[in-house]
Amino acid sequence: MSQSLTDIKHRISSVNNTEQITKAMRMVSAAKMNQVQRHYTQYEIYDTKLREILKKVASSEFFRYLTRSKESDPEAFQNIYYDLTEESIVNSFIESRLSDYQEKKRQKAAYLVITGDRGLVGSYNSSILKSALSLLRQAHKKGEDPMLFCVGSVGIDFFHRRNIKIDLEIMNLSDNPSFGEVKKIISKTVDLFQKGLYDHLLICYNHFVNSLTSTFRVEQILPISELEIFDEVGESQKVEPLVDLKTFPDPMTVLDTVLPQYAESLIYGAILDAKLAEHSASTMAMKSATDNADDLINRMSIEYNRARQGAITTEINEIVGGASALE
Amino acid sequence: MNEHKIFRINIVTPDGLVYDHRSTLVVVRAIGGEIGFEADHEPTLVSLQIAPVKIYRVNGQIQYVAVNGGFLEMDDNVATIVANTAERPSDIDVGRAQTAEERAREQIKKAKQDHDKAALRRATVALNRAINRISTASLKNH
Repeated sequence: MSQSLTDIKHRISSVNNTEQITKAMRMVSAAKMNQVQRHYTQYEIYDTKLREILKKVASSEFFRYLTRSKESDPEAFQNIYYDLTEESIVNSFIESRLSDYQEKKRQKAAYLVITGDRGLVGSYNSSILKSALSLLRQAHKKGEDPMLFCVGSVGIDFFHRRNIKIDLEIMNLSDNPSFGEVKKIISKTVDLFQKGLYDHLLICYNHFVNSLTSTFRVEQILPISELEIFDEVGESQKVEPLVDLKTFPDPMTVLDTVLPQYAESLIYGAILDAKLAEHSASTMAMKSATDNADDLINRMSIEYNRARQGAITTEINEIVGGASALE
Repeated sequence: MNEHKIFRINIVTPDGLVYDHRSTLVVVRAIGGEIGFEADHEPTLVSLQIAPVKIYRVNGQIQYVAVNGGFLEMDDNVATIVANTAERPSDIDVGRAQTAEERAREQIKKAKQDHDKAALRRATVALNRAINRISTASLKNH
């Protein structure tokens, strides 16, 4: 009976208060997660459509010429490449197919690290930052000097403390970011790429698997190498194109619109995905905090009851002892 | 108008499907000029300017949507506009668009003084967006 009854009582009530707070936070996080999830399904409509169109473009006559290698079809190559200048967007946006034409010059990487803006999300932020930091260190070891873009104040503080320069930062995103809100960072990222300030972009974020788990993921967004679209088409290269798509004003201009927009869409998708993972991590963290508080209260209640019993026993002992002394 | 065939017009943005109606004629301002789409148009992909899209509804009504660039795909009697943002006139905050216009004009002036090409381009795009919103909102009553 080391602690007095009132002590334990106090502790129980304080843990109880905390539990109520974490419970509320859990519910809030769960609600936000639902919101983002709903938003994500909306975004998926857009994403699917964009992919569909890109696929059609990829299967079009023009694009096939564009991606055919110089050796296999020199004549077609010459016709099409006639007006392809060095800055042409397609050259930079699409990697593998044009590698024989353009020297591979993977020199300057850029990392976009997406973290949260606040704590209380379990290991969400630390797992991203740990992995991102080791990626950056590896790059430095290889003598590269990658650019760093960072979303979320936790990440920004983390890199500032380590004296790592951040080239582009954005914080205080809302819990359910609309496209307009993140448009600035997204278009700036794509802009810098088009200007050639870096030549490939990797996004580091936590991918939402389900409400219990999320995994760290590094994805190369630019140049668009996630070309399952193009590969699929590549395999069916001998088959007729999906549709004979006419373009206006001309194929290059259309690609100039479609490709950056697709890149922007991919980045936005990653940010939404990360937000989803953040809210689910927060939900999980708050859930386990609530569970722990429950455990603690249970244990302390037992302790409290024991102490109370002990006190009663002592009291009875004292009364009995006092009575017998009077006899 | 009734003899015109009907096709479907969708507008998708990252925030979801914002417009889904039937139409007899859609007029867009593409890079390089205005184009009208009617039903049974051949499959086409068109890059759009930042401009209002004019949609003739089946009941003869004309609707405008402020579309922020992107492109239009016509295939199998479905026209899909894929853009970063798209707003109906009733959703446009004219006051905000006007302040954005002024801000953009100032930025353009400043960028011209500083000879900052990138800033100039950004500001021009912002200006176009604001003008697009304002003009679309003013078309509401037609």
